[in-house]
Amino acid sequence: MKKLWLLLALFLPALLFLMGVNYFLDPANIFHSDGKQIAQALMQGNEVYIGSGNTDERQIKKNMISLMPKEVDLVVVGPSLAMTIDRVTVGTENMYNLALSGADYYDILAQLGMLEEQQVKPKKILFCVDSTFFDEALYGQMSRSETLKPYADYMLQVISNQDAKKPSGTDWKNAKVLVQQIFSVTYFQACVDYVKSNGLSSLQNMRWSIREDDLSENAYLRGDGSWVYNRAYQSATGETVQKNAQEYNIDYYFTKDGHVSESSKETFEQLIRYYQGQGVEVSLFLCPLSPSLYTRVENQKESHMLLWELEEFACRMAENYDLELYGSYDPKQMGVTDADYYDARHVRHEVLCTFFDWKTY
Amino acid sequence: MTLTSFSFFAFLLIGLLVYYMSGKGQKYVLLAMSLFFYFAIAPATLRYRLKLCAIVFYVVFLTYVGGLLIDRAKGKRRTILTFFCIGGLAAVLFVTKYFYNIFTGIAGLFGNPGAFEWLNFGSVIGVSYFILSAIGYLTDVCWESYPAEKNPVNIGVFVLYFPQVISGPVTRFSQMNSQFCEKTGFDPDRISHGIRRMLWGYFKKLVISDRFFLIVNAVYGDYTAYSGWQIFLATVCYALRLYTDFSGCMDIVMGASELFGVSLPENFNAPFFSATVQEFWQRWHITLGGWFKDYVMYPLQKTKGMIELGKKCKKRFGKKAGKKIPFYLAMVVLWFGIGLWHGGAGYYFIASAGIPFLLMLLGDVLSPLFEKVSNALHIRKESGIFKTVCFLRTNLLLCFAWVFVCAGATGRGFRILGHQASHLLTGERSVLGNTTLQALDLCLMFGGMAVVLFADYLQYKGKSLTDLLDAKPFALRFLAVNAEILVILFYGLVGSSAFIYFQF
Amino acid sequence: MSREEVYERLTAVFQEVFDDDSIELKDETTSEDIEDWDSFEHINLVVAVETEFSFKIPMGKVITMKNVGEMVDIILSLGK
Repeated sequence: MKKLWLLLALFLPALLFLMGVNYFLDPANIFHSDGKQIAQALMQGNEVYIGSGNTDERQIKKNMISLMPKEVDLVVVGPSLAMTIDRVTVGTENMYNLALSGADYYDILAQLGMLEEQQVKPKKILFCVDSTFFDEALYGQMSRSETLKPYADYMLQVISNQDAKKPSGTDWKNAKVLVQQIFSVTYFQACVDYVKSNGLSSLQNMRWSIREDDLSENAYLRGDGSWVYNRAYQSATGETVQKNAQEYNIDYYFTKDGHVSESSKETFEQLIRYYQGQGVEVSLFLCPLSPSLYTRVENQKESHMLLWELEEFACRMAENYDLELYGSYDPKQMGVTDADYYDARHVRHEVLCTFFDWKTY
Repeated sequence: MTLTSFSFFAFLLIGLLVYYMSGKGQKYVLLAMSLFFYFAIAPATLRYRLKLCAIVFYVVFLTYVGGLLIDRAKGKRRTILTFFCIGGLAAVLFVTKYFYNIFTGIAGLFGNPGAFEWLNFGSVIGVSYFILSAIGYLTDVCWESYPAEKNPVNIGVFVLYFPQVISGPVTRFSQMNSQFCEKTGFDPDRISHGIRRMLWGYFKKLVISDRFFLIVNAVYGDYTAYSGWQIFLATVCYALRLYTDFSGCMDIVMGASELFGVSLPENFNAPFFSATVQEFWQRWHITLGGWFKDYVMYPLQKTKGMIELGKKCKKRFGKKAGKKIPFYLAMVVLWFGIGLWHGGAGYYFIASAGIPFLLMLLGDVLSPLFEKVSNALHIRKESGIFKTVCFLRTNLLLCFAWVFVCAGATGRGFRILGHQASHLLTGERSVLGNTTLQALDLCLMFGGMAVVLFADYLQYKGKSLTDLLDAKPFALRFLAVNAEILVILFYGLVGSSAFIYFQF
Repeated sequence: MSREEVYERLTAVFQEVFDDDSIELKDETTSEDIEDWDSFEHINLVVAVETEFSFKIPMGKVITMKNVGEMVDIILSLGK
């Protein structure tokens, strides 16, 4: 018996240490449902710091949808390009920014599906048109949205007038994943890296906290779900943007020799028709590329036709269905320079606000 | 499932629980685990799994039935039957390893390289090892070392035993069967030793081995940018990498086997402490060398032809020289066999067979000369310095072999050697230049290697690090083991988490 | 054949094979004790023993014999 205790005493402490670090630090929010708490804090009007660079925004915004009022003036969907659009810019308090970084075909459909399921009816949907929705090569690869798929499927059924089955409450957390990750050495090392890069103080307010003052340099979410970048990111200059543009992987993000996927186009049209039938206005937003990046892609136009195809498609849709179209991928159209950007793709919030009169209220 | 995956640990844990609860039925648990494991480590396609099923069934069936038939046959018939069965088993090796390459090569000459695509089995894990074990069993039965096994389950467990199925060690039926059939009681000490051995293996593999590999890759990936001296350093890194990787893998599987109360034979015995190249091969991949010695070299040497040859040579060249010719001939066959087993590709042949053979030949031919020189210089053979010089000499010589393995192709190997000679000291960048290694990594690599070499030195002297720690108080053991665990946790190169991604 | 007889004849074989008249054999003598007795010479030795005692030693035993004592036991059992 003594030998058994010695055996356990030898190995158990290390195992518990591993599990403890993984569970309590949890930078990827696998063991904690911060998404729900953060969403509640946001809906109460707070601004929230996200501690780790890794909080599951999809979970946060999913929970926001379930807390939203049934009648909403405006909802913004799309990738990170549209994430800074806020209430002040748009001119109404009853607006929610559901944009997600790297939001792909399934992400956006899932969010629309969730709105549908919760019977939230926006008066207007601002749709940021980007290759992540329209390029199969991109959304085929991204697997972040796996658990949201049932909602995406639900929405597809709704807009194609099929008998739509509401998804049963999908279990966000897979039990197998939980068990695997609590023992995971790779996750442990991610925890260590997180503490290393954010200092020991990060252990206190690990994953998120309510923003009470103006002192921190970190990025945060506003109460409407829009995003404010951290001060370091905001201090980008024209030169850094140029450099970022040179290093930007255009072959990946504007798939080399790729084209707009037909199924995406079809789905998009179905969405438009469905919403118009419901009396919901749809506006399109094309976020311009930084001039350095645009020039670079233009020089390889033949192998990156996707960008132009997409703009042409958006214009056609706007014309056919009488939709409002804001912006263009071509920065010359918008009169912006490299200095008006945080990086090769993301326009500064202050500049974005000046593009057009967003205030339609 | 791999040796570092969560599913492997879950598999072991569940297996252990069932094993220790199943009393007399333990070997059935092992068989079930082995079958499960073998299919779990392979690609999950239906086609591949069917292929595996066929191979497993065929090999176990042939071994079991062959053994029984051989045992009943007498005289010449016995030998012929044995050859027939061995041929049947070796055929699996040929078909899965060589046929596709050979036939595609020939078909390519006729302008139709795709003709034999159906032969492309892809490599089948473990075949190289368990086929040897099975052939050994049949040969032993033929030689009446023990009667043929009547219980097919015992054959099944012996052939497919999961810890050894990935990369050995090559086992003998006589040393394994009794262990499988004996009931193993739960012994915390043995479990502790098993876990500690596995940790030792993970430490070698994850902390040390993969870091050395970064250097090897960087230098050999672009060798023209480095000097001969730097390439030499990278070659040494390869030797260290190969050793920590292979022996680490062995430690993991042997530790895992230990958990079930089954001891596997050692594959390494302080190989870097070898005075001659010959001795190296008795300390490196011991079970493979042993298998080829007992089942290829000895039978060959005992054939009438070889004995006659030996007699003739003794008559013509005198006793000493006369012995050498059959010796060298046997060596050629032995090393040809080993080279073939390693894959038969040109550069592998040269590295794993050609060069070792040449070095042993040279060593043998030149040994009287070395004797004279060391006597003239009054060097004592037992002195530590002399021994150390011998160790260094052996390892240096073997670097020639490693160059070919790193080069990946025969021609390239020669070109690299040529480059080393012509650019001995002139290089364009530092060895660490193209790698992401930091000062901390170097500490881990060399510190870790020092610990490994220390443990090996103890082994060389007939002791062991485990015993050393066992003799100390629990507190010290606790510190040592947990320090090892922490190093693995913090610094093991385990890849990155799929859950960590950044927002923009 | 007595054990002493076997030892006498075996010692002669060893001395012949290894070219060393000073070799003395005991039950515990192994390959470690005799300089030239390596894995290759082992077979030459076995063949010489077989010639001397006029019978074949089974291959299985060739591989497993650990010391001279075992060798003597094998010889004695085969002689009967």
